[in-house]
Amino acid sequence: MAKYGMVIDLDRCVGCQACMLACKAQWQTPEDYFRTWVKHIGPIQHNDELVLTSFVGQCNHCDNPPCVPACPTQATFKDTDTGIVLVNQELCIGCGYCVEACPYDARFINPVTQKVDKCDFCFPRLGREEPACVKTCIVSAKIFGDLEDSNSDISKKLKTGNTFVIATKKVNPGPNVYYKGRRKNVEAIIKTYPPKKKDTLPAKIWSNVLRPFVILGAGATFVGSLIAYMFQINQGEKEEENEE
Amino acid sequence: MRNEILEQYLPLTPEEKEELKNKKIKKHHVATVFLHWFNLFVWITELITGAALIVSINYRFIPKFLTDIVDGVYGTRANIIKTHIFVGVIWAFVLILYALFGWRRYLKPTLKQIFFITKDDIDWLKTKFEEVALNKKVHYPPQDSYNGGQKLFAQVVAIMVPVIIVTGFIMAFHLLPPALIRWAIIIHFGAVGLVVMGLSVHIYMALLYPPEQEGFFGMITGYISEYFAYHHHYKFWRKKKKGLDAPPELEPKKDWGPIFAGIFLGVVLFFSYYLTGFGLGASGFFQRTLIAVLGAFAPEAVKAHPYMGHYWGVYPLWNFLVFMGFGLVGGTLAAMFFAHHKFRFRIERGKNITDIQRLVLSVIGGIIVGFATRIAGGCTSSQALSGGAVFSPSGWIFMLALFAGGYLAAFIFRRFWK
Amino acid sequence: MIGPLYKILGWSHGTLMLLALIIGFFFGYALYRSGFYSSKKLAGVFYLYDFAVYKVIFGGIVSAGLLIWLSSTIGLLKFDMLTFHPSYLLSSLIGGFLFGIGFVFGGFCPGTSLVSAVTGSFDAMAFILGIYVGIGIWDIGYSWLFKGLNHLGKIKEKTLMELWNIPYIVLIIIAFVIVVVTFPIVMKVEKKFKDE
Repeated sequence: MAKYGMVIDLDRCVGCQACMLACKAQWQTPEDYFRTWVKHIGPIQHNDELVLTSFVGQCNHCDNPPCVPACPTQATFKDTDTGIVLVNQELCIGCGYCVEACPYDARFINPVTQKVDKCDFCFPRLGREEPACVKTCIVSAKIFGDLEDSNSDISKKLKTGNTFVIATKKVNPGPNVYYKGRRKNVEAIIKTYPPKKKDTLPAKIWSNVLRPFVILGAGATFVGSLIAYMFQINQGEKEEENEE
Repeated sequence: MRNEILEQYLPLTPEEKEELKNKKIKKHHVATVFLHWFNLFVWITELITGAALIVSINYRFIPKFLTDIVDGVYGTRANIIKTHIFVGVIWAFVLILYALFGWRRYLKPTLKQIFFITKDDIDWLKTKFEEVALNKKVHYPPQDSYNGGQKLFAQVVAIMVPVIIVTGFIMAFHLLPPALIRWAIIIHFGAVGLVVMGLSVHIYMALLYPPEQEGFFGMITGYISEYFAYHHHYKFWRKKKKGLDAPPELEPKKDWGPIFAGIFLGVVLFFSYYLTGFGLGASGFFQRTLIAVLGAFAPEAVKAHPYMGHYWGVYPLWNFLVFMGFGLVGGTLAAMFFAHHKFRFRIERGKNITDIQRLVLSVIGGIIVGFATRIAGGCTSSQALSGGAVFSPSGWIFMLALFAGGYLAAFIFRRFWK
Repeated sequence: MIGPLYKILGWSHGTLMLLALIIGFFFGYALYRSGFYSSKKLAGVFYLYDFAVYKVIFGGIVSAGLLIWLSSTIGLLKFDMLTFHPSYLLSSLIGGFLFGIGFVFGGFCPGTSLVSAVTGSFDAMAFILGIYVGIGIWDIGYSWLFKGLNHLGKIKEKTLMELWNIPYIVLIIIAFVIVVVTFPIVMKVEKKFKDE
């Protein structure tokens, strides 16, 4: 059992985007599609201070991922051994309910495979190598490891304080990617790219209208048939009565 | 004429009743019967796998322990979705063939009838309600070959099945952008839901409701008694009796000329080699189905057997020749259907022998042939035809020996077929 | 694309099953439309009043042979990758001879009995019952009676081309000549015996 997470040190990050390229080279995502991204923020004014920073983002592998219940076929699931949110490509039907549900826009439909794609902490490399973005970072701004192991680098780094997650009071799915740095920088990121609670219209219709309708309707006809059958048994054979 | 057809049927005298009860009347063509039971198989498979696929707490509509059972049966969840798509594609394929080739004779008249609701149909629904719910003694209004309730259900099915197939294909093969796939899913789900609502009434009426039970057996044999038709489908009975609107019998087609048939078969054989690397075969079907049955009783003994174990493989029925046998059955039925031949039980024999003698000879011939295929390791399809085309020595020797044995036997037993 | 596709492209076993289903479909279609649902027609080849069986088999061999030869010559098909029967010559001889006798008794071969049975022929159903019994006798008696009977007279060459060292097309031409010469003859014989 483990719970993998990441700490991103915003004070170290120079915004060079090498992690984006390393990830792309590793997973061959199509043009203009990235599993991790670096978005430059600023210079802007935030609470009377000047902010100039980078938003290094990816899947947060949340404790309560909103994408998992959004997936009809359970292609998206939270791996119990590692805490990583994974996608079973064979089960994915490419509907994109999870893409819409993700508060961080960390998912996309890969136009080549037509299935959903996102950061999986380089799951196939797990145990052998660090994720591609971590390994490539020239300033070691990304630290990857087991959050439950108190001796790991990541746990030690977290103990030094000044770590935040991208979450608001309204939207807090329990992200496992931590940001280390000055408070104003993280606040600026949250302000510029706020996590959003979303549900697509078809998903809402499905769970709130269609599902009760079908269950009630099918149940009603089934129970109706059953009751009619009970009456029929009670009355005995009726065939002969039909004739005059 | 119209008034005459619409008029109520009259009560029967006991003699008339006896007479009608003994007479049979054809209700369903054999193709319809096959399609119906094929549909049943598809619906069971697709409903189970489809329900087990939807496990998200937001959308699930059957409890978790039930989906867990299906998961256990299929091993991995990916197998469930593969089965769902595989069966769905075959279903669509069969239905499209039916729609294309049966349009004029079956589909169009059926659609015309079910979407043409008369006052009698509405009265029937009222009468049925009174009978079932209020336990009244009733007299059905005259009905077509589908009654009011069946029409209502058929309408739902006729509209929803194409919707289910189209949305299913959109999802399975990503035919539209994700934004539209999202809608395809819920439309698929809703359409299935509507059919399922009707399904339990359909099953109840057919299986458990005594007055309608003859209709159920009619869906197996294709025939119902005239008495049942008179009471439950009066308009249909009248039409049959008067020969009104009966679709014209199609002229049965002649067999292909042997040379064309030979070339067609040669092309099929070539494609078998080109696509799979294997030739055609038939005796393997019998060997493996037999092993599968024996294996159901004693799997270990069969697996360890020096001869049968060789044919066991991963699983004896998950095999090329077994599926070829299934395809062969389907192709035969399709050919019979498109040649406008009728399915009929029969015994073919030479003039000089009786039916019983013919059956005994047939069993003996089967035993010899079955045994011979095991010695030669194949039959006419695999050895003579598939082996002959690639000039395998054993294939040609088999063929020559076959004709030698055949002519010798025919010379000695001249009476069998003369 | 170079065939056999299943082997070269590494398709899954499930795909092979689907292909088998489709090929079997057309196989059954061809057998039915050839008229092989009728045991009378099938037995005709041995009683000289209907040579359809002979004509269809030879038509099939020549046309399939031509297509296979053509596609392997132009590089569309790898002939070496096709699966053939191993050559057990004596077993084929014994098996074929017995098979011929059984064919006359029952009026079917395994494939056509399946075709005929699903169209409602009781004699074909009886024949299938017989096939299962025959195979069952073999399976059960294999270890102590028939062992090795199916492996007699083995040679290592799997085709006549290897055995006699002559090109494929020559054999196809020979088969074609046989067809051209014998078809008019059997048609005459057919006509003569049909009336009886």
